[in-house]
Amino acid sequence: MADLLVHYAIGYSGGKLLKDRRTRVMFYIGNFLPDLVFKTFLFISNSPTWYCEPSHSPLILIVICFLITHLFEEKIRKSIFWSLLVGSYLHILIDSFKSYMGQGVILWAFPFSMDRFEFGLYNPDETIYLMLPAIILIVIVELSARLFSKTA
Amino acid sequence: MFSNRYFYTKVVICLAIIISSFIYSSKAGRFINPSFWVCQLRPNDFNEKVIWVPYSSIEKKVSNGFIINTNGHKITVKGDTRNYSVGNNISIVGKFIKSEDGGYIELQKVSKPPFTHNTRLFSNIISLAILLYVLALFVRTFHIRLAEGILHTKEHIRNG
Repeated sequence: MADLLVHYAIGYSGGKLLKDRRTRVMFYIGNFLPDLVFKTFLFISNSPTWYCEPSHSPLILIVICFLITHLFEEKIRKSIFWSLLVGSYLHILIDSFKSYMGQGVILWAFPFSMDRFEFGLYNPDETIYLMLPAIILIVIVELSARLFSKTA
Repeated sequence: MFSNRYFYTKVVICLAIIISSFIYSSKAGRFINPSFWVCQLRPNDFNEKVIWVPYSSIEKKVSNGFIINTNGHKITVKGDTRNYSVGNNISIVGKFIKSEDGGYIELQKVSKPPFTHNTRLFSNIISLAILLYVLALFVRTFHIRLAEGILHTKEHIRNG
Protein backbone atom coordinates (compact mmCIF):
# COMPACT_ATOMS: atom_id res chain seq x y z
CA MET A 1 0.00 0.00 0.00
CA ALA A 2 2.95 2.30 0.66
CA ASP A 3 3.99 2.23 -2.99
CA LEU A 4 0.85 3.34 -4.82
CA LEU A 5 2.87 6.07 -6.57
CA VAL A 6 4.99 3.40 -8.29
CA HIS A 7 1.87 1.39 -9.22
CA TYR A 8 0.21 4.57 -10.50
CA ALA A 9 3.24 5.64 -12.58
CA ILE A 10 3.41 2.30 -14.39
CA GLY A 11 -0.37 2.15 -14.72
CA TYR A 12 -0.42 5.73 -15.99
CA SER A 13 1.96 4.80 -18.81
CA GLY A 14 -0.37 1.98 -19.90
CA GLY A 15 -3.54 3.98 -19.26
CA LYS A 16 -2.46 6.69 -21.69
CA LEU A 17 -2.96 4.17 -24.50
CA LEU A 18 -6.65 3.86 -23.62
CA LYS A 19 -8.81 6.38 -25.47
CA ASP A 20 -11.99 5.97 -23.42
CA ARG A 21 -11.79 7.91 -20.16
CA ARG A 22 -14.04 5.42 -18.35
CA THR A 23 -11.83 2.42 -19.07
CA ARG A 24 -8.73 4.50 -18.33
CA VAL A 25 -10.01 5.49 -14.86
CA MET A 26 -11.00 1.90 -14.11
CA PHE A 27 -7.57 0.72 -15.30
CA TYR A 28 -5.98 3.07 -12.74
CA ILE A 29 -8.34 1.76 -10.05
CA GLY A 30 -7.46 -1.80 -11.12
CA ASN A 31 -3.82 -0.91 -10.42
CA PHE A 32 -4.81 -0.23 -6.79
CA LEU A 33 -7.54 -2.85 -6.46
CA PRO A 34 -5.58 -5.72 -4.83
CA ASP A 35 -4.31 -3.40 -2.09
CA LEU A 36 -7.72 -1.76 -1.64
CA VAL A 37 -9.42 -5.15 -1.20
CA PHE A 38 -6.61 -6.36 1.08
CA LYS A 39 -6.75 -3.33 3.41
CA THR A 40 -10.56 -3.20 3.39
CA PHE A 41 -10.88 -6.82 4.51
CA LEU A 42 -7.97 -6.46 6.95
CA PHE A 43 -9.50 -3.49 8.75
CA ILE A 44 -13.14 -4.62 8.55
CA SER A 45 -12.50 -8.15 9.73
CA ASN A 46 -9.50 -7.36 11.99
CA SER A 47 -8.11 -10.70 10.85
CA PRO A 48 -4.65 -12.15 10.23
CA THR A 49 -3.16 -11.13 6.89
CA TRP A 50 -3.66 -14.64 5.48
CA TYR A 51 -7.39 -14.00 5.52
CA CYS A 52 -6.86 -11.27 2.91
CA GLU A 53 -4.09 -12.75 0.72
CA PRO A 54 -6.52 -14.03 -2.00
CA SER A 55 -6.85 -10.34 -2.97
CA HIS A 56 -3.44 -10.81 -4.63
CA SER A 57 -4.21 -14.09 -6.43
CA PRO A 58 -5.07 -14.09 -10.16
CA LEU A 59 -8.11 -16.39 -10.08
CA ILE A 60 -9.88 -14.63 -7.22
CA LEU A 61 -9.18 -11.26 -8.86
CA ILE A 62 -11.27 -12.41 -11.84
CA VAL A 63 -14.25 -12.92 -9.51
CA ILE A 64 -13.64 -9.64 -7.66
CA CYS A 65 -13.42 -7.68 -10.93
CA PHE A 66 -16.50 -9.46 -12.31
CA LEU A 67 -18.46 -8.50 -9.17
CA ILE A 68 -17.37 -4.84 -9.29
CA THR A 69 -18.18 -4.71 -13.01
CA HIS A 70 -21.84 -5.38 -12.19
CA LEU A 71 -22.05 -2.04 -10.37
CA PHE A 72 -21.77 -0.34 -13.75
CA GLU A 73 -24.25 0.23 -16.55
CA GLU A 74 -24.71 -2.83 -18.71
CA LYS A 75 -23.23 -1.69 -22.00
CA ILE A 76 -19.80 -0.73 -20.63
CA ARG A 77 -19.35 -3.70 -18.27
CA LYS A 78 -17.17 -5.72 -20.60
CA SER A 79 -14.59 -2.95 -21.12
CA ILE A 80 -14.70 -2.06 -17.39
CA PHE A 81 -14.04 -5.71 -16.50
CA TRP A 82 -10.99 -6.02 -18.75
CA SER A 83 -9.50 -2.70 -17.68
CA LEU A 84 -9.93 -3.59 -13.99
CA LEU A 85 -8.51 -7.09 -14.48
CA VAL A 86 -5.47 -6.03 -16.52
CA GLY A 87 -4.77 -3.23 -14.02
CA SER A 88 -5.00 -5.71 -11.12
CA TYR A 89 -2.69 -8.19 -12.83
CA LEU A 90 -0.19 -5.40 -13.47
CA HIS A 91 -0.33 -4.64 -9.73
CA ILE A 92 0.51 -8.19 -8.64
CA LEU A 93 3.21 -8.44 -11.32
CA ILE A 94 4.90 -5.33 -9.87
CA ASP A 95 4.43 -6.68 -6.32
CA SER A 96 6.10 -9.95 -7.33
CA PHE A 97 9.36 -8.07 -7.99
CA LYS A 98 9.59 -7.21 -4.28
CA SER A 99 11.61 -9.29 -1.87
CA TYR A 100 9.82 -10.69 1.14
CA MET A 101 13.02 -12.49 2.16
CA GLY A 102 11.90 -15.64 0.37
CA GLN A 103 8.51 -15.59 2.11
CA GLY A 104 6.63 -14.18 -0.91
CA VAL A 105 2.94 -13.70 -0.35
CA ILE A 106 1.52 -13.78 -3.89
CA LEU A 107 -0.43 -17.01 -4.31
CA TRP A 108 -0.22 -17.58 -8.07
CA ALA A 109 -2.33 -20.73 -8.15
CA PHE A 110 -4.69 -20.14 -5.21
CA PRO A 111 -7.00 -21.95 -4.30
CA PHE A 112 -5.34 -24.99 -5.90
CA SER A 113 -1.97 -24.37 -4.26
CA MET A 114 -0.61 -22.31 -1.39
CA ASP A 115 2.77 -22.02 -3.15
CA ARG A 116 4.15 -18.51 -3.15
CA PHE A 117 6.38 -16.75 -5.63
CA GLU A 118 8.55 -13.65 -5.74
CA PHE A 119 11.32 -12.38 -8.03
CA GLY A 120 12.84 -10.75 -4.93
CA LEU A 121 14.59 -7.85 -6.65
CA TYR A 122 14.12 -5.17 -3.99
CA ASN A 123 12.94 -4.74 -0.42
CA PRO A 124 9.36 -3.38 -0.12
CA ASP A 125 10.69 -0.42 1.86
CA GLU A 126 13.13 0.49 -0.89
CA THR A 127 10.19 1.73 -2.97
CA ILE A 128 10.98 5.10 -1.38
CA TYR A 129 13.93 5.18 -3.84
CA LEU A 130 11.55 4.51 -6.74
CA MET A 131 9.35 7.51 -6.02
CA LEU A 132 11.45 10.04 -7.90
CA PRO A 133 11.84 7.80 -11.00
CA ALA A 134 8.06 7.21 -10.83
CA ILE A 135 7.38 10.96 -10.90
CA ILE A 136 9.86 11.38 -13.78
CA LEU A 137 8.10 8.58 -15.68
CA ILE A 138 4.71 10.28 -15.22
CA VAL A 139 6.13 13.60 -16.49
CA ILE A 140 7.80 11.94 -19.52
CA VAL A 141 4.61 10.05 -20.44
CA GLU A 142 2.48 13.16 -20.05
CA LEU A 143 4.83 15.33 -22.14
CA SER A 144 5.13 12.60 -24.82
CA ALA A 145 1.33 12.25 -24.97
CA ARG A 146 0.88 16.00 -25.38
CA LEU A 147 3.59 16.19 -28.05
CA PHE A 148 2.07 13.24 -29.90
CA SER A 149 -1.45 14.73 -29.82
CA LYS A 150 -0.13 18.03 -31.25
CA THR A 151 1.72 16.37 -34.11
CA ALA A 152 -1.07 13.84 -34.89
CA MET B 1 -22.10 -12.85 -19.41
CA PHE B 2 -22.14 -9.16 -18.48
CA SER B 3 -25.86 -8.61 -19.01
CA ASN B 4 -28.48 -8.06 -16.33
CA ARG B 5 -29.74 -11.61 -16.79
CA TYR B 6 -29.45 -13.55 -13.50
CA PHE B 7 -27.96 -10.37 -12.01
CA TYR B 8 -28.55 -11.21 -8.34
CA THR B 9 -27.58 -14.85 -8.82
CA LYS B 10 -24.23 -13.79 -10.27
CA VAL B 11 -23.66 -11.27 -7.47
CA VAL B 12 -24.45 -13.84 -4.76
CA ILE B 13 -22.21 -16.49 -6.39
CA CYS B 14 -19.32 -14.00 -6.68
CA LEU B 15 -19.70 -12.91 -3.03
CA ALA B 16 -19.84 -16.55 -1.91
CA ILE B 17 -16.66 -17.40 -3.86
CA ILE B 18 -14.79 -14.35 -2.53
CA ILE B 19 -15.76 -14.82 1.12
CA SER B 20 -15.18 -18.59 1.08
CA SER B 21 -11.76 -18.11 -0.57
CA PHE B 22 -10.77 -15.64 2.14
CA ILE B 23 -11.87 -18.04 4.87
CA TYR B 24 -10.09 -20.96 3.17
CA SER B 25 -6.90 -18.88 2.86
CA SER B 26 -6.96 -17.97 6.55
CA LYS B 27 -7.18 -21.69 7.42
CA ALA B 28 -4.71 -23.02 4.81
CA GLY B 29 -2.20 -20.20 5.35
CA ARG B 30 -2.13 -20.19 9.14
CA PHE B 31 1.21 -22.01 9.27
CA ILE B 32 2.79 -19.69 6.68
CA ASN B 33 4.48 -16.66 8.27
CA PRO B 34 2.42 -16.80 11.47
CA SER B 35 2.59 -13.94 13.95
CA PHE B 36 4.92 -14.41 16.90
CA TRP B 37 2.08 -14.00 19.40
CA VAL B 38 0.11 -16.73 17.60
CA CYS B 39 3.13 -19.04 17.99
CA GLN B 40 3.33 -18.14 21.68
CA LEU B 41 -0.34 -18.95 22.18
CA ARG B 42 0.00 -22.42 20.61
CA PRO B 43 3.71 -23.29 20.96
CA ASN B 44 3.26 -27.02 20.28
CA ASP B 45 1.50 -26.40 16.95
CA PHE B 46 3.91 -23.70 15.77
CA ASN B 47 7.23 -25.02 17.10
CA GLU B 48 9.93 -24.70 14.36
CA LYS B 49 7.57 -22.90 11.95
CA VAL B 50 9.26 -20.18 9.90
CA ILE B 51 8.33 -16.59 10.80
CA TRP B 52 8.91 -13.38 8.86
CA VAL B 53 9.12 -10.31 11.11
CA PRO B 54 9.40 -7.10 9.07
CA TYR B 55 9.75 -3.52 10.37
CA SER B 56 11.57 -4.19 13.64
CA SER B 57 14.38 -2.47 15.44
CA ILE B 58 17.09 -3.89 17.67
CA GLU B 59 16.42 -2.77 21.20
CA LYS B 60 19.08 -4.61 23.16
CA LYS B 61 21.98 -6.98 22.49
CA VAL B 62 22.31 -10.09 24.61
CA SER B 63 25.07 -12.71 24.77
CA ASN B 64 23.77 -14.98 21.98
CA GLY B 65 21.50 -12.64 20.05
CA PHE B 66 19.37 -9.56 20.47
CA ILE B 67 15.93 -8.39 21.49
CA ILE B 68 13.89 -6.76 18.77
CA ASN B 69 10.97 -4.41 19.08
CA THR B 70 8.20 -4.83 16.54
CA ASN B 71 5.12 -2.64 16.99
CA GLY B 72 5.80 -2.47 20.71
CA HIS B 73 6.26 -6.23 21.17
CA LYS B 74 9.65 -7.46 22.32
CA ILE B 75 10.96 -10.68 20.79
CA THR B 76 14.16 -12.55 21.66
CA VAL B 77 16.20 -13.54 18.60
CA LYS B 78 19.12 -15.97 18.82
CA GLY B 79 21.83 -16.40 16.20
CA ASP B 80 24.84 -14.69 14.63
CA THR B 81 24.25 -11.00 15.32
CA ARG B 82 27.80 -9.63 15.04
CA ASN B 83 27.03 -7.26 12.15
CA TYR B 84 24.08 -5.59 13.83
CA SER B 85 23.89 -3.06 16.62
CA VAL B 86 21.29 -1.47 18.86
CA GLY B 87 18.98 0.89 16.96
CA ASN B 88 19.34 -0.88 13.58
CA ASN B 89 16.10 -1.26 11.63
CA ILE B 90 15.85 -4.85 10.47
CA SER B 91 13.52 -7.43 8.98
CA ILE B 92 14.18 -11.04 9.92
CA VAL B 93 13.21 -14.56 8.95
CA GLY B 94 13.69 -17.33 11.49
CA LYS B 95 12.25 -20.37 13.20
CA PHE B 96 9.99 -20.09 16.22
CA ILE B 97 11.38 -22.26 18.99
CA LYS B 98 9.14 -22.96 21.96
CA SER B 99 10.54 -22.51 25.45
CA GLU B 100 9.25 -22.06 28.96
CA ASP B 101 9.73 -18.29 28.89
CA GLY B 102 7.46 -17.76 25.86
CA GLY B 103 9.70 -18.85 23.02
CA TYR B 104 12.25 -17.17 20.78
CA ILE B 105 13.27 -16.91 17.13
CA GLU B 106 16.26 -18.82 15.78
CA LEU B 107 17.69 -16.42 13.21
CA GLN B 108 17.94 -17.52 9.55
CA LYS B 109 18.04 -14.31 7.48
CA VAL B 110 18.34 -10.61 8.24
CA SER B 111 17.90 -7.63 5.97
CA LYS B 112 18.57 -4.01 6.81
CA PRO B 113 15.98 -2.03 4.84
CA PRO B 114 16.35 1.74 4.75
CA PHE B 115 13.07 2.36 6.55
CA THR B 116 12.41 4.55 9.52
CA HIS B 117 9.05 5.49 10.96
CA ASN B 118 9.24 8.76 9.00
CA THR B 119 9.99 7.20 5.59
CA ARG B 120 7.07 4.79 5.96
CA LEU B 121 4.79 7.64 7.04
CA PHE B 122 5.95 9.71 4.05
CA SER B 123 5.31 6.79 1.64
CA ASN B 124 1.86 6.24 3.11
CA ILE B 125 0.92 9.92 2.82
CA ILE B 126 2.02 10.01 -0.85
CA SER B 127 0.08 6.80 -1.53
CA LEU B 128 -3.04 8.18 0.12
CA ALA B 129 -2.77 11.36 -1.95
CA ILE B 130 -2.50 9.32 -5.18
CA LEU B 131 -5.48 7.19 -4.14
CA LEU B 132 -7.59 10.29 -3.44
CA TYR B 133 -6.60 11.74 -6.82
CA VAL B 134 -7.72 8.59 -8.67
CA LEU B 135 -10.95 8.47 -6.65
CA ALA B 136 -11.56 12.10 -7.66
CA LEU B 137 -11.10 11.07 -11.32
CA PHE B 138 -13.61 8.27 -10.71
CA VAL B 139 -16.19 10.62 -9.18
CA ARG B 140 -15.76 13.04 -12.10
CA THR B 141 -16.41 10.19 -14.56
CA PHE B 142 -19.25 8.24 -12.96
CA HIS B 143 -22.25 9.06 -10.82
CA ILE B 144 -24.69 6.91 -8.89
CA ARG B 145 -28.27 6.80 -10.04
CA LEU B 146 -30.09 5.56 -6.99
CA ALA B 147 -33.23 4.77 -8.97
CA GLU B 148 -31.28 2.15 -10.91
CA GLY B 149 -28.75 1.44 -8.19
CA ILE B 150 -25.70 1.32 -10.46
CA LEU B 151 -22.88 3.58 -11.58
CA HIS B 152 -23.52 5.56 -14.75
CA THR B 153 -21.24 7.56 -16.96
CA LYS B 154 -21.66 11.31 -16.51
CA GLU B 155 -23.26 13.01 -19.49
CA HIS B 156 -20.27 15.23 -20.39
CA ILE B 157 -18.04 12.13 -20.55
CA ARG B 158 -20.60 10.16 -22.57
CA ASN B 159 -20.89 13.01 -25.09
CA GLY B 160 -17.12 13.29 -25.39
